[in-house]
Amino acid sequence: MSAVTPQPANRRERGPLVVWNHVPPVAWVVLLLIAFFGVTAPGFFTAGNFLNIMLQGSVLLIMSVAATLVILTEGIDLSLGSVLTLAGVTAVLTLQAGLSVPAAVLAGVLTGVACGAATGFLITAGKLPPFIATLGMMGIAAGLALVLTRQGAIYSDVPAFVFLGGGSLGVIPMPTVIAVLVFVFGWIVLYQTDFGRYIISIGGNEMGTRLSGVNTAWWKFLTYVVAGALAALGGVIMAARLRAADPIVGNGWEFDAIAAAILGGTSFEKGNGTLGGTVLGVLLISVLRNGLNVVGVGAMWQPALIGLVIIAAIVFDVMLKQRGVIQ
Amino acid sequence: MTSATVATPRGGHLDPRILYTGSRLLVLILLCVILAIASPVFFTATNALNVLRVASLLVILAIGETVVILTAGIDLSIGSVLTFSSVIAALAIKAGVPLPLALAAGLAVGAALGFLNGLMVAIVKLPAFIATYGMMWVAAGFAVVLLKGQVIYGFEDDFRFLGVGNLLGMPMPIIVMVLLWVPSYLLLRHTTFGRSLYAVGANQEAARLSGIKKDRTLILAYTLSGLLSAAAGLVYVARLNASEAGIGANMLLPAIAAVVIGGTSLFGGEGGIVGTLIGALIMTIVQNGMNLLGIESVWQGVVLGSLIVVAVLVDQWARKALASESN
Amino acid sequence: MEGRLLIEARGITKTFPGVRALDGVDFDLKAGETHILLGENGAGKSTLMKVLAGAYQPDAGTIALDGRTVRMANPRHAQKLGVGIIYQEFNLVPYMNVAQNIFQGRFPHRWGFLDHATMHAESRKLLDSLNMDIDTRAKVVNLGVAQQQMVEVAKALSVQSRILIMDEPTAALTDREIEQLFATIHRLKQQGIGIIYISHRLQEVHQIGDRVTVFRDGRLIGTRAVSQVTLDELIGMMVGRTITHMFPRDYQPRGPEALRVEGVVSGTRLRGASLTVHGGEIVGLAGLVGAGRTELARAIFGADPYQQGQVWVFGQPVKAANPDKMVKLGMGLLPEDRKAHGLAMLLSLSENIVLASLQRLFPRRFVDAGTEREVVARYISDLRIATPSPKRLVQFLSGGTQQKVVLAKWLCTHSRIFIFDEPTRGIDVGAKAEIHGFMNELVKQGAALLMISSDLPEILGMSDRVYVMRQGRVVAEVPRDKATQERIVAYAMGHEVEP
Repeated sequence: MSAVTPQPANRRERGPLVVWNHVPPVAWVVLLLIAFFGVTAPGFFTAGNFLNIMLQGSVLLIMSVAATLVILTEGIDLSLGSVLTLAGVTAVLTLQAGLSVPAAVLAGVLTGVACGAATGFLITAGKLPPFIATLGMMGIAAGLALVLTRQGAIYSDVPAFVFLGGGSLGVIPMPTVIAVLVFVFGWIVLYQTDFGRYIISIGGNEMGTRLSGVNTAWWKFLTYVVAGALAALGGVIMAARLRAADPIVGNGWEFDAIAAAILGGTSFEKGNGTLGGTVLGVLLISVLRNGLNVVGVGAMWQPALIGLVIIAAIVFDVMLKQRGVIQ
Repeated sequence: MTSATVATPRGGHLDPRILYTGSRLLVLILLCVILAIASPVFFTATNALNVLRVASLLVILAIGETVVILTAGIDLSIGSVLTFSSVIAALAIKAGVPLPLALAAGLAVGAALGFLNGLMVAIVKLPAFIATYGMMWVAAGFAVVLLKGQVIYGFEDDFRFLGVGNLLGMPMPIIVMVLLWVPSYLLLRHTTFGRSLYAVGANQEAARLSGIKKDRTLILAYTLSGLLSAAAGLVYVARLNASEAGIGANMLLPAIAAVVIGGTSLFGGEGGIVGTLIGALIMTIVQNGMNLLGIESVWQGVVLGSLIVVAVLVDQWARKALASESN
Repeated sequence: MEGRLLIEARGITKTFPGVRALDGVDFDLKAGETHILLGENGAGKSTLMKVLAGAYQPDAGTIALDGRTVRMANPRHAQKLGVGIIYQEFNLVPYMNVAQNIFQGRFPHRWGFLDHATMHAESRKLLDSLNMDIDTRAKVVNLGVAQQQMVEVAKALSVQSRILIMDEPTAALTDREIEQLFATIHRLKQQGIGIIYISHRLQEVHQIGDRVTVFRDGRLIGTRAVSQVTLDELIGMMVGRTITHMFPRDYQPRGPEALRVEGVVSGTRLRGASLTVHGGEIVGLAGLVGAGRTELARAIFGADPYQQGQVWVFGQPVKAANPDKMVKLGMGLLPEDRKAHGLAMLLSLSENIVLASLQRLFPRRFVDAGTEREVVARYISDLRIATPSPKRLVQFLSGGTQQKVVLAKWLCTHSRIFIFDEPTRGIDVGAKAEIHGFMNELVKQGAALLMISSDLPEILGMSDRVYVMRQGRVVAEVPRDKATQERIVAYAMGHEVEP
């Protein structure tokens, strides 16, 4: 194995919170977008709007942390959106059954744990390619959500629950608080625990890591479980915000989550990526969505345009990485 | 230096290909027998024709997916391409464009989208599941934009014939399916392109080193998939007498299920559209059976996802058993 | 400290399907010594190395570490017993820093979390003891090969290895880096660590070795103290076999130039290689693993790009080569790894045989079953391919038969220039002789054949002349009448040769 370009060995790297030694390309794009929208739309640069962006981005951040962890192991999880949906459904059903809010949250998260465990098992023990295992799970979870809700939205107005989605801690909305906590959790796991190091190792050199005596199958399995749990958490918050569990609410969230991770610098291979970068990716997509809204682009156009921008960005990102322009 | 022992060719020449396809056929026959016993309605001419008709649409879509999976790739965008190209055709028809031209436009658009997928996979070297996943969202998004949130309905009989007409006593969808299946079979089994396709899927590097134009083969495969998705879309819209944004949404999983259940390997190089035909029939019959037996259709998503997972698992296990026997 | 036996291995035998890789080998390693393993490709050095590292279990024989008999179930177990191994393919994680790579799988903890401070401090100490100025916070992907190797050494040391096995450590290093590595090795020896060192560079024997052991065909030929043996003697031990085999060659005057290669440079593996091949001749290409022979073959065939140099086919220069173009020009490459590169295992014999000739056989793109059957039947009979049916999937055939299928594929292209990379490796004697016969026939009909082989008798028996590659260059051209095993190995290892 040869290194990409030998660098002087005494170049010190700063801690993991700083994404790269140089500002990553995506940060520039975010700044550019903010500038663009700020100029073209008067309503963009208000505190209220920024709060809005943070809110919208909260659930996405939670999902993107999940996506990042999985992609770092050279895997993929297409079921994140469906798990979000299903978890919300489970949470609301639990509330409707008269149980407490903590129980409902637990039920939701456990749903995600179960889904993640199933896909993790299929991938490690069953040796299924991740995209097929998670594709199958996507169908199963989405189907279950439809069954459980009888194809319609189900509602809950329990105040403590609604607070999770609509309340705030001081001036910060609850979803954002939870998102920050998730980020901190993800950061701690990735940089301060064995688990996090093994995630990077599996993506970077699975065979070599196994030869070093690490039980890579178990840690890979655990990654999918954690991803499922996080997506479920996102689903619970979503349901709290909407005061309802909608059986198709999660459709497409995995696309945004994966895109945020990729645009934030996480590569599909080799275990290259940072959580800080993912935050930037989430910011990028949230600003994009919000900006298009504020500028007045019709709701109808948004998914199409955003999808196009994301794919174009990923294509450029991959091409630039291939040519060694960025790492 | 040192020598290897001579291995005599295994006695009892069992062609695995016949085994794989034959076993599927057996399952199909078994299924028919079980359902014929379980429900008196099953084996009537009307029901049989019904099943064939529904299966035909799935087959058309699944042929394209088979071609892509044979190259060890995947096309997650077939549902959206189906939608988008049929919207283009519908709009053209409503705008007064002569029918043949409108249909050709739809097909061309599908092929173009497939071509783009091929470029992303072969040239940019994006993982297939990401490239086609992105295309899925972009195509779906732009279909919505084109439709402006409306449904286009009420077509003339000449177009509708494609979906509801009969030719020689057979419903048109079946005729169209046969008209597409037969040339596709010839293409895959009796042309140099087909040989290249299987070779690229079986061992991309060996194919390249044998002088096969790998990039061209891949791009053509994805283009074909797009083309066939468009064809399926035309038949579907003709049948529904309506073109709307959601028609392709739930068609991806059934198509992949048909391919996988039919015995085509996700790892490429093995399988074909004979298996896909059988797989589609199996799936349609399972669905038909569920309807006849009064099982709610809402469970079908769950069943589908599980079917895919089970089929791939069984397949992988079978291949491993066969391969280790040969060592 | 010096002299104590770290490893004592007796009667080690290891067999793989069809190959006896090690045959009753007795080997020992003393504390504080560097014990060099020498031998041709496939002589057994790698296998012994892996047995000692716990990656393979011996079929027979015992291993004693520090006087105690052990059975090492797996590499991890071996590591715990103090055996560290550094492969050419490092076990490092690219986007993790040096300290974490060193402590992979055994991270120190503080209050349940990773103890970064300890990791950095300890790895700093280790690297300092090796006199290595590597930043423990640097990500491995940003280090050069030599530095990555040092990280692997530090990793082995950090698990208290008292035995270090190094597989061709200097293969990818510059002279400067090699000096540093040797300095490190000296330091390790002073600490009483025993080093097993596999090398292909004869000069290293006297530079760094204390004892040297020569392998040949799975047997240990002899162990000598470095101070008491000459390099010529060593070469003699490596190749000293009598050639009883007669090879089927009808030598003939050579034809016009078919292939000319000049100054091909590609990455670090090819540093300017040149050769020519004429019609009617078999040109052997010898050299050690890593010399660049396969890389050269692939570059000529257009399979890999090259940065400098030029290739002429039948006098015409070729630009922007790729396999598709080269096949059209009349060249074929029989790859070294037939399973990975030569055959599509999931396809049938018949499909594989026509795979490179699709355009030639079926110009109208339609595959005519009759033509295919005829063509395939002809090759099956000509090459005596043993199979119940041409529809048999290639994965079920024996090695020799598989190689014949690859050969058939290329014969079917009617190419006039062939590059065969290890054409008879891993094949039984009978099939080997047949393939040699086919090669002879090919060139009798005027084809030009470049044969890469690590089998010295084969090189000597089949070639009109022999090129020898070393470190990415063609360093010698030896005519048939001057070619001996000793001479070729000497060139391959950079040893001086009498003209």
